Amino acid sequence: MTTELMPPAAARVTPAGIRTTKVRIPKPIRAPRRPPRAPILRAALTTGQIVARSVLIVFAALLLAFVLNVTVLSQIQHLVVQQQLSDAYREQLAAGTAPVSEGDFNNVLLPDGAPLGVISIPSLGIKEIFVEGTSADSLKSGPGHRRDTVLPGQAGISVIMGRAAAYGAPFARIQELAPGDQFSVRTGQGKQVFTVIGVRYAGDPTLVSPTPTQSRLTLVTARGPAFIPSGLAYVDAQLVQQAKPAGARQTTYIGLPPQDLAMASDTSTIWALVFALQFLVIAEIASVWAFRRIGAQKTWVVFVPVTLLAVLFTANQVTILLPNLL
Amino acid sequence: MHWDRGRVAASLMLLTALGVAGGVACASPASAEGCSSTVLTITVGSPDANTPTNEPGSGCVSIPGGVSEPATGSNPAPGTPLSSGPGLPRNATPSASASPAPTATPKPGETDLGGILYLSGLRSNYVWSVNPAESVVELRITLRNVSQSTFDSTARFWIDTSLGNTVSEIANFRIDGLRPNETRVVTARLGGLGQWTVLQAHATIKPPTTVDGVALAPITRDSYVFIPPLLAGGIGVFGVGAFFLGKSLVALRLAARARGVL
Repeated sequence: MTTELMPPAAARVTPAGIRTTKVRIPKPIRAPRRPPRAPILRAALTTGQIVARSVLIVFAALLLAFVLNVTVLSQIQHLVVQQQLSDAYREQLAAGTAPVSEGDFNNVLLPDGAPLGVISIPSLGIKEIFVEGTSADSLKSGPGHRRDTVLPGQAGISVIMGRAAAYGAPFARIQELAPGDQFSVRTGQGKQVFTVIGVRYAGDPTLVSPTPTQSRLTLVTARGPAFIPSGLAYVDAQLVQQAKPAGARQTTYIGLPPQDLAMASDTSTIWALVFALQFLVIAEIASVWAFRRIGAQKTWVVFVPVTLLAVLFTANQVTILLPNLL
Repeated sequence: MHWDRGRVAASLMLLTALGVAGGVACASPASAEGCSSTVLTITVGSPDANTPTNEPGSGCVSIPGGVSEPATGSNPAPGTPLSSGPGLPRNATPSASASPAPTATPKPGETDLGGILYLSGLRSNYVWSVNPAESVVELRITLRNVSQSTFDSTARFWIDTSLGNTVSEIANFRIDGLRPNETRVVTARLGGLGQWTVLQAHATIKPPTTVDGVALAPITRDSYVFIPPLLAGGIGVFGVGAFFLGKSLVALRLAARARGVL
């Protein structure tokens, strides 16, 4: 029995009949340029240090969520709410049930946040649904009508407040309005056209009161750098057409809630902040427990959305405590 | 050893970039202060009606009737005329009984606004420029005379940095012959601003002390201007890019040397 040995693939036969084989010589192992770092031996944390670290992490997360909420998420929230308000108000206009007083067509007092009309300032690119109430929570939706004043276009003085930086900043540029500029407000009584009288700052003498047949609208916002309000700015405007009759008002200036005044913060929902903080602490404790008992992967999947929700909920409640015209 | 050399080179590049950026940042205030009188133009509704003058300020303004000084929120530079409120009637109060003295009778279709002088807010517009020496901000304010008299006013425009120092100013600009029911736009272009990022612009309109028997006071309007630090930012980005590029080149060179190519 003969066995023919085949040459390896790398073998070659020279013309002289000499078989050569290429042999790969392994490279010598080079020593690393620098020795690997010695592992860092951390001192074991005490229970107090662990708690302090957790508290600082939660505080940092809350701070980041607060900034993110005020600067970015609030703008998105405003867009969404405006769309919903626009839909609701269009339905009311079509049905002829848009409010013309402090109550709805069933004579039920309008709740805070109920849509009242559309303010349109084309020169500034503003077209916003304004709502009833001027608390910080109401002004998250858009400009707000102060409850103790008449509706725009009705005989008397109407006041609409709007934020200057957060939640869409609808009134950020109203100081650019010049005397003689015109804008319109659509309410349940039709389209009202106003001419700008001028811009006032807080502390300036107010205008003389309008006659019983005149209608004036005052737009109010904060002035100063964005998110750092330093005062108030007012834009007074006069109705250029005949004033409409004023609807019934239950709220007077004395009865106006303090959180509805300019630059006031809303502490009426501070209980919600307490619950939000409790929710956040419980989520934190549960995530730590799950991390130690179940493992990192499942804990991340389950508790990241929960913690994120708790942090944003808390940040949203903190935002309401800021001045309402911010 | 080679890495040390590379680090030194990269550090030198970064330090050079930062030094240049810092020099620019330090040079901007100096140039800005040096250009405090670099006023480009100022125009009113009719451009040839007025020319800038350099009359001295008139100092503090007394308020008749003992009315307390309203807080206008402005922060005028030291030595400038004190702003004491708007050019609205001093005796005007929220109540209807305290109406001022204007006797203007509205024409049919017009409305008696019951005042003397009304203003808009101060509009500011930054004219983009990479060169800090060419930074220009355009300030615009609108005046409306709702009295029955023609009167003159003066205007002062100035811009402060966030540190409070004034970098550009136009003082005592005359606004002559503002007629009844006339609306006039005053535009000022202030230069020499550098790239201070955040600036506060002010305008003070000083009407006559009395118009139609109504006492008036100066009125101040404020605005904030954001000027992006294009030059310093560009140099910073260039420096960081140069640092990482140099680091990569040094690493490639060392790798090639280790392979014996070099």
